[in-house]
Order: sequence, then structure tokens, then C-alpha cells
Amino acid sequence: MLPLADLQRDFVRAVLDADTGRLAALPLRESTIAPAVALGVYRNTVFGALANALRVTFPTVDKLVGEEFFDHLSAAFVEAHPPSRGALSLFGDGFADFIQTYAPVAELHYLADVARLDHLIDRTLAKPDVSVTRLYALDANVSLEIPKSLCAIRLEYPADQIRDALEAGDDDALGRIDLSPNPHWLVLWRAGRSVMLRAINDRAGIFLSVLLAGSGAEAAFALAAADAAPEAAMSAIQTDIFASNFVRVVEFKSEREFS
Amino acid sequence: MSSQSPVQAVAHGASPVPAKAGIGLRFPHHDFVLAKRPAAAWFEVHPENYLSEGAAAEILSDIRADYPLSLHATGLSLGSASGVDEDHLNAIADLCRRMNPALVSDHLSWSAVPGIHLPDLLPIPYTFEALRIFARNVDRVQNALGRSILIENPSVYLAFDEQDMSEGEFLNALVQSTGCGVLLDVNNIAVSASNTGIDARDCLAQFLSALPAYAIGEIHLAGHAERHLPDGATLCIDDHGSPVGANVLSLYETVIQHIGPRPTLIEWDTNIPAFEILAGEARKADAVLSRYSKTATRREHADAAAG
Repeated sequence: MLPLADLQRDFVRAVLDADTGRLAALPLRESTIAPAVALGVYRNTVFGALANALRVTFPTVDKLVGEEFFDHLSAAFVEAHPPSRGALSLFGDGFADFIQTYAPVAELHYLADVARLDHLIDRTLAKPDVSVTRLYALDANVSLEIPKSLCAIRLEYPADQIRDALEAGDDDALGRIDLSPNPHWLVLWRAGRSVMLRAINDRAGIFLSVLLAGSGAEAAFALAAADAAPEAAMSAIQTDIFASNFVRVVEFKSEREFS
Repeated sequence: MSSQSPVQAVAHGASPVPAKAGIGLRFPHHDFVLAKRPAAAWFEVHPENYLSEGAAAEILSDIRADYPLSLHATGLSLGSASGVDEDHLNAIADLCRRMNPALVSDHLSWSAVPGIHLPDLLPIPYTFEALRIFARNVDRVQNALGRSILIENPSVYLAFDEQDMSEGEFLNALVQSTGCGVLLDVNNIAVSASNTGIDARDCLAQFLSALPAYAIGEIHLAGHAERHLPDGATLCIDDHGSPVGANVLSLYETVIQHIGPRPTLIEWDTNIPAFEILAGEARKADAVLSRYSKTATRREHADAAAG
């Protein structure tokens, strides 16, 4: 018998590469089921489970390209980036970047952004509810209380409009969407079993993303205010963040989580 | 029938899983269970679907407050020569701390090599080398969880040559060396036996003769698909997509007759029907369990009286 590590390495390659010869070369007992048939069952299970996992995480991509092409797309992704972890719900990191470089969908310039938004919504739903918050110091006296699930994303294309139209089943609205580049920022946070989306201006988006990345309020404001008068930048941040309903400006407390 | 208590490994404070039929809880039934709180002896879920602190885990926590819970893992890859993924194990351990399940289980299989994890339960050769590796991995998991786990016999579509022991003997050796228990999947016995050219009753007899009754802490029942191949062979696929077959129910009755009532799970994972259909499948298993529960009770009293 082969050492177990060698047997398992060959088995995995046989499944991923549809290599019946490699499987048949393992010390198999003669059986009623031919190795090619057995390999087909294992491949169907693996690729089917991964396609379904991606379909759950990327529902808008699935609706846009259709079930048959989605299966093809997911199989190509799996072959290039097989999963490395035991939780299917975590599979799909890198799918959007893969779409960006996948030649058969090169003309669908917006598809990678649609995947990015789907992915972020899925991951936001896996975070604690809105009541779990974290404080970010703005200065010595004031902090920003932000839901732990809150995140910001800059999209090049109107992926949010596409998602809304498909969720509503509104083909007319889908047809009216201008698919040319239109960079914009969104914030997302979890509320119960839903994910809330809100458009924010560019300076607010930069400020929030830098703050959430842990660089501090001063650095966040400096980047957000680049090429602008400080008063104008502060006004933009004030309007879309400080005055929003997804954060609270509070008297200073040490930075930590609350629930 | 053994008078020793079956392996339950119930954590402190957890509601024990009764020797009745429970139901495999899947996402499409979350809302129904939350709203209606239907009669069900217990639920079992795949922990891999609830590892985050998000909405799914909150739903499970809510359901778990009213029902005994079993966690049936699919991703620990206990047969991997490369060992157990510590990140995944820590996530499972964290969920166990939050949910305090009565039972925890995974499979007599492997899924991962370094850098790649396939979402399937792949077959292991029943060799002494594989036994050492599997026992080492089970020890690691049980130490991390602070409890015994149950190991389930999987469905297979091929078998290895040059093995040192049968599947039942391999499981028994694991029980003896690690203190784990066994989750006997009767549907998997039927599927594996058919696919490897063995009579299912002979296969079951091998399990029951190799394993002490007390080691079997849970039973799984499910439906499977049969596909007739051009060469005349029949391929059994463990798709959990139909009612429990008559042949599997018959094997199940043999098991219960032999070892006494055990917590028994109805699994249904593809083409998932209405909850009431699952409850109906559970009633079939409960009918078998009730036929032998009185016998078991009488025998326990007789054993106790005999000292």
C-alpha cells in the first residue's frame, strides 16, 4: 500500500484533473463500479458542492449569466483556485478577481464589480448584528461609534443598481441602467437578517475606509481632503457620515467593542 | 444487547439527545422552526454552516434554546495524513462553546491535502498506518473540544486493496484507542455494500460483530438514488434526496434489535421537502424505536436484578 500522504495527493489530483488513469493506478479492489464511474461521482459531488456554495454567495452573478454558464464559470474557478478550507461558506474569496481576468466574460466589464458587491453582502451578513459596535477616536474628546459589521466599498460600475433590478425582477429597470464606468462609494452594514446599503460621497467613502482600516482619524481625513479645501472635505464627511443613521458621534471613550 | 450506556459524551449543561428520531435541520426550514416550534425530538446541523457570528449562528442559537442539538461536522478531515486544520478545529470548538451541543460527530474519511480541501468525504484505506493517523487526529479534536466525538461510516464508491482490516474493525480499533464513539449510518452501509459488491446484510453483520453496542451513540437514516449503468451494474448514490428506502429501514430494525434504541437522525439534503415530510420520516423511525424500547427497558431491569 502507498503511504497515505501519497495516496491522498494522487486522489485529489485525480478528482481535480478528471484523471481516471491516476485513480486507477491506486491499489483499488476489483469492484462492481468502474474507477471512471466512481471518479465521476466524486467529481460531481466536489464541483457541484462548490458551484452551489458560489451560487449562494454570488446570487446576482448567477442571475446575470444564467445557471449553465455559472456552472462553467465556477468549475473554471475551482480548477484554478481549489478551496483550502473546510467551511464552504468561506469559499469564494478571489472569485471577483478571477472574473476580472476570465476571457469568456471580458466584455461584461461590470461583472467583477457585481461579484465584489455580492461577496461583501454575504460576508457582512456573517458579521455581528448592528447592535455590536466599535469606537474610533476622532480626537481627544469625541469618538465615532460604528457597527462592527459596517464596511465601505468603491465600485467602478453600477453593480448596486444591477442587483436591485434583478432582485426586483424588473427587466425594464435592468435595461435602463447605464453600464458605463461610474465610480461611487457604498457603505454596508448588517441589520437583523438583512444587509443595508447606502451610497455616500467620495470623500466620505475614503475617510471611512481608511478609518475602518485602522489608520486613525487624522490620516483618514488627510486622504479624504486631498486636493480640496479642508472645510469642503469636512462638510462632505459631516453630511454622509457624522449625520448619518449608521454611526453615532459620542463623547470620547477608549477604543473598544460594545454589544 | 449490551446493558452498557451508549456513548453520548454529553457536555455539562447540554440537553441530552434522546433515543428518538431527530431531524437534520437545513436552512430552508429555519423560518418554519422559528415560527412554529414544531414537535421534534432533536435537531442536527452541519457546524460548518454556522461558524461565523452572523445571522445563521443567531438563528441556530435561538432554535437550540428549545431543542437538543447535535453538531455533525463535515470538514475536520480526520483521515488526512497532513493532520487537522487547526483554524477549522478552533472555529468548531468555538461554536461548541457557544451552542453546547449534546453530540459532536464527523466522518471516517478525509477531504484535505496540504493547501487543498475538497468538499467530499473521501475513502481511506483500512491500514495500520491510516489507523495511527486517524487516531492521532481524533485525539487532537477530542482534546480541543474537551469531549468525545462520534465517527460515522461514510458511503464509498470504491474500495482499496491491500487493507489490514475491515471498516468495522477499523472503527472498533479507533473506539478502543481514542474513546470515541460510532455514528452508524445505515444508509451508507447499504450504499457502500452495493457499490463494492457486498451483500448489505453481510456488511451490517460485520459492523455489528466488530463493534461493541455501547460504542454506537447515534444512527443516521437517509434515502439514496440508484442508477443502472450500461454494463449492468447498479450505482448507488448517497444523495439524501428521497425517503428512507425499505431495505434501509429493514437494516435499521436489525440494528435496533441488536443494540437497542439509539438517537436516530433523518437526513435529507437535496430536493428538500416540507418539514412535515421529514417529520413523517421521523415517525417511521420512532415506530421501530418504540417496538424495542420496552424490550430494552425490561432487559435493563433484568440485568440490574441479576446484579
